[in-house]
Amino acid sequence: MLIQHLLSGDEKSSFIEPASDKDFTLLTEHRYFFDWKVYKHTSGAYVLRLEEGPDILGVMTLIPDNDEQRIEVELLSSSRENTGRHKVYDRIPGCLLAFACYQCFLDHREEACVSLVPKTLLRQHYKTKYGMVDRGPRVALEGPALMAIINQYLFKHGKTTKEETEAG
Amino acid sequence: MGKQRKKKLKPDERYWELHVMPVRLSRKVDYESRDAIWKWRIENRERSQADSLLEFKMNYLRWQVAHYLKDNVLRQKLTFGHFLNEYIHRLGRDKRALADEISIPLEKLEGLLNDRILPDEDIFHRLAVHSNDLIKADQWHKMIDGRKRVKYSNDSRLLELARAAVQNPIGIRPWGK
Repeated sequence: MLIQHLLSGDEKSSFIEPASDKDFTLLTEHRYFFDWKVYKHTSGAYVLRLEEGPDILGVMTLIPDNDEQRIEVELLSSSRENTGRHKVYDRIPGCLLAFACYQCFLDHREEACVSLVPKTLLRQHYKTKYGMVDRGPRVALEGPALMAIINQYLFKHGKTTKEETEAG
Repeated sequence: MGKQRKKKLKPDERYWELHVMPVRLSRKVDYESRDAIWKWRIENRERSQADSLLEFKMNYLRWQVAHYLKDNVLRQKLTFGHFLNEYIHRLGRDKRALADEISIPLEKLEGLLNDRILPDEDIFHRLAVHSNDLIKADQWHKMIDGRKRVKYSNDSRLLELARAAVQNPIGIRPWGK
């Protein structure tokens, strides 16, 4: 998958993988806005990094609910330099969200559904940018809108995971 | 010694830059939101194919039953008969068809639907087999008030008998298996 370097306009290849123990030492609260170490012994944390270097640009945690064929994005963050008006790279949250959609799609095919509890300020943004739908405190995504996110962020310009990148 | 005041950050300020923040919803709000997502997905399915809609409706019932029974606190309105009614309604079957399929007289089924007749162990197993284990025998059993409840044992012999008695069980897969 590609993320965009805003200053140069160049597209850079990136990939998402499960966070390793070593990654948790890099995920400091100062740079990623949360004490991610609490997720060290769980399996739901994923990191996004550039193929050209080990730096982590984004991180998220997922909670799969097989009974509901749904994945909840519990936490999602870009690194400090990639947030706000002067961020270095664009598309990081979109790629992470698309990855969650893709994981859910692999497990549940056309019944896949992804939801999250957005910040009030970002609720409208999730609806307009990703086509999510208001459902109580959550916003949710399924069907064609979910497929569109996968296509737009994962397949339009590149590959999904590091394994696939290597395999390709 | 002067009082030291330490400014406590509210979660909103502390996690301001996170795109998705850690939020703990109250049980009620969480349930309502999940419920709303189920209903929305069912609405979407109504516009598409019927098989998928039935699968959604029955798994929604399964989720509601599991959520209801989680605390072992029964509500007056949510009886065995209520859930059996829901089961028939969501399946889109009539009472006679279900009575035939689980091999019991129609009068008995009507008595169960109105909570006039207390179900026995055999009924729990037949309904579990008919529902393809969407709602398990012990879940049907737990819907009944403990004071009136008949004994329930996970007897494999009864399960075999139920399998023999039930015709045309639903072919819907329980999600999460």
